Amino acid sequence: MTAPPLARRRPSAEKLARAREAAARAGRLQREQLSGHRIDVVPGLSGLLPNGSLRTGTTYSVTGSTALLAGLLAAPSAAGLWCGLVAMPDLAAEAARNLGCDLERLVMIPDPGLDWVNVVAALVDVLPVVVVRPIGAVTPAEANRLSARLRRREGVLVVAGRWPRADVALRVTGREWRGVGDGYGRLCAQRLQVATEGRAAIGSGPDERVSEVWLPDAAGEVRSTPLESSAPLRLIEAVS
Amino acid sequence: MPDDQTVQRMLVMWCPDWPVVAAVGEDAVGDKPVAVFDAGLVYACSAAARAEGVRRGQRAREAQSRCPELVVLPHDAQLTASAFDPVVEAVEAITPGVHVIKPGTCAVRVRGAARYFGGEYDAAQAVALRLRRLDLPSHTLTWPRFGIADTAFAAEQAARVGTSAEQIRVVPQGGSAEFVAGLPVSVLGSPELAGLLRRLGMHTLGDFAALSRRDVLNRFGPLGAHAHRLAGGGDRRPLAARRPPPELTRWVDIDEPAERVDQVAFAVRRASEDFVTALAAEGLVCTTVRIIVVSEDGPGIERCWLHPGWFSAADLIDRLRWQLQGDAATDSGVRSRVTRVCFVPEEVDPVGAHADGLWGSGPDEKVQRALTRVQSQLGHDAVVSAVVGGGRGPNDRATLVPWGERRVPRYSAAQPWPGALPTPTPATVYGEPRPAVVLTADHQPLAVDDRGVLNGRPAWFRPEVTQGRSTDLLPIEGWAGPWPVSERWWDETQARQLTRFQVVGADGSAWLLVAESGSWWIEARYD
Repeated sequence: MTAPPLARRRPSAEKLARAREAAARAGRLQREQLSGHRIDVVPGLSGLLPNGSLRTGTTYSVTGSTALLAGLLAAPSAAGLWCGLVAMPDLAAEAARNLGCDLERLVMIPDPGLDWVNVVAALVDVLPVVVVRPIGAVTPAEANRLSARLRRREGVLVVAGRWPRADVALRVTGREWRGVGDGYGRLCAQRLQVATEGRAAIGSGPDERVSEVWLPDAAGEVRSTPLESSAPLRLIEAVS
Repeated sequence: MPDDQTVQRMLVMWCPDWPVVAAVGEDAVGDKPVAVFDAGLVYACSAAARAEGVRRGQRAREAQSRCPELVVLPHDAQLTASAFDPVVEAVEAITPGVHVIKPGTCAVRVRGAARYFGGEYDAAQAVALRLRRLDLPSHTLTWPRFGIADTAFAAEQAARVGTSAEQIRVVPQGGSAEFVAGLPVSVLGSPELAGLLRRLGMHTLGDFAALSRRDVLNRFGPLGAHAHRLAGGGDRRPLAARRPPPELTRWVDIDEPAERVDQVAFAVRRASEDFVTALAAEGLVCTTVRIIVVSEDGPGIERCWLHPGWFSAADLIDRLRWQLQGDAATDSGVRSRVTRVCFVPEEVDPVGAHADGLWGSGPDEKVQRALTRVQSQLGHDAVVSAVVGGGRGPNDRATLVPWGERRVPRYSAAQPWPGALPTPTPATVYGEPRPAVVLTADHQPLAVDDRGVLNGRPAWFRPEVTQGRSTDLLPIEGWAGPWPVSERWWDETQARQLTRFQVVGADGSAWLLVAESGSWWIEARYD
């Protein structure tokens, strides 16, 4: 590798360039690379994700909330991307539509059978966003193969449950519903406390943070909210 | 005054009371008076009914009061039109280029047939003879009548005017104006114009034709001018001859009645390719196909299939296989042996509408193809798309439609649904409600009576099935309800009485509970 000719005039820039090169090489050698195109989500949920958006070629694991899953799909689906749901017969289509998904480009396979990993792989080939609730355990080898396919096809896999070596994991640690009293009212707003674990960029360390989001708030919008230490949310124990 | 350069002599065939003939069909009605009703008024009636005093446009009660033994039949426009097709084909066998004016009346140019049969009267007689062989239902005595004149309008009036003994009426060339002059103005077919003309003192078409054309155009507008031209014996309407549709339906006779699904599929392979090729030769592709399967014993299965794109030969074989399998497993045999298979194109599109993009197919096409591949592996119902419609409970609102079919919700969203759930909608809705246990503060089962009165405050709640954790009693922090719903009380089989509650547990989870007939169920979870 030859240094660029401009570096002779500025030695410090040469060192900087070499340092950057070394970091880039190290980053390329690492498996967990989040270098893909951005897929934007609704502004209220961007605070939950590293870099504020979904990235192609990555696997996301969401545990504890189906509405959060549907919320992540809302902006890509409304923008025109095809989305697929595998082995999720209980996800309410109306809730997805109310959050913003376009049902005409939402494909559902409620019962893929025992060969669900191959069905997911077949969908990853054509659909940009695939959501799956794993029926059984998945071996790390299968997970690696799927990741490789995701990176090649520039798709996103969102898993409703645990996934071996997922790139980003969103875990709901606290939940509060507002609007219902002792025999009166109706549910109108939900506040979720979400813990994010993942990597933001090449070379950076693991990113762990906790944020809160209204999904939806009293007006029906999805928006992030600063952590309120005065009103602690109820803790949910480790969910499967 | 005919304005055309060359006079085209027209033959019009009129089948009296055709809607009645088509509606009666094969039923043995005998001599009973029959009337066909459309929207509560008499649309057509048989001669026997007319003799009793039933007329077109009467209300049902009036018609039945005049004729108590009247046989009442509903009007089906499509049946009337399709029943007329064999008659038109029989006329086409004598002279091609038939124009159907409406079901029961058709017109055709008679010059060629007249030259062949040696006269216009003989040509009409040949057509009448051909129709007699057609085996029209004769019990209503509706032998068709014929009229031949310079224009279609005059010929139609000639056909209607004759008595039943005189089946064919020929108006000599140039005599149309004189023939129609004596007819009343009501035959023009426009009641308002006829009423207006009568009030102005003109009772026959001859009086109307005596006016000057420019005056009529000024006073009555283009419609009146057209009627004036008809009254004068001229007719400028071009007649569109019917082109016989090409035979695109494919029948396959299976020589040895097949027992296994793949045997049937193999036998019709060639026919399905012919089907697609024949359509392509006409410049068409099929987007909806009806597959009729005739089996040895018992009725066959007939089903209509839609395709998001268009049907290729492999797609047709796939659909046939799904139709034969029904809900059974992949390689099972058919219930009774199959003898014939028929492919009928229900909807076709021109080829250009389905051409692939210039640089290969677009992304949507790729997705459609991949999904149909997955569908052929897992089954037709395995890949679905959801459409949201109306409905009260969370389960009623979304309908799952197999991929490729028309997205129509089970319940219409346009209708009001009082008692529907308020927003926000729950994100997880169980297809089958799961049983639950709800207890009051002193651990007694909670009950709701008919008036919606609870026997205590809900304090403990156990979802019988939860996400793999032990099912302990969950204390209830907040609850809302009861929201009683009484659905379809008029229908014995579908009537439901239930009460909904929203419940928030101590761990922040929110549930939609239903109490029905003394037991509790979880319908949905707000997660």
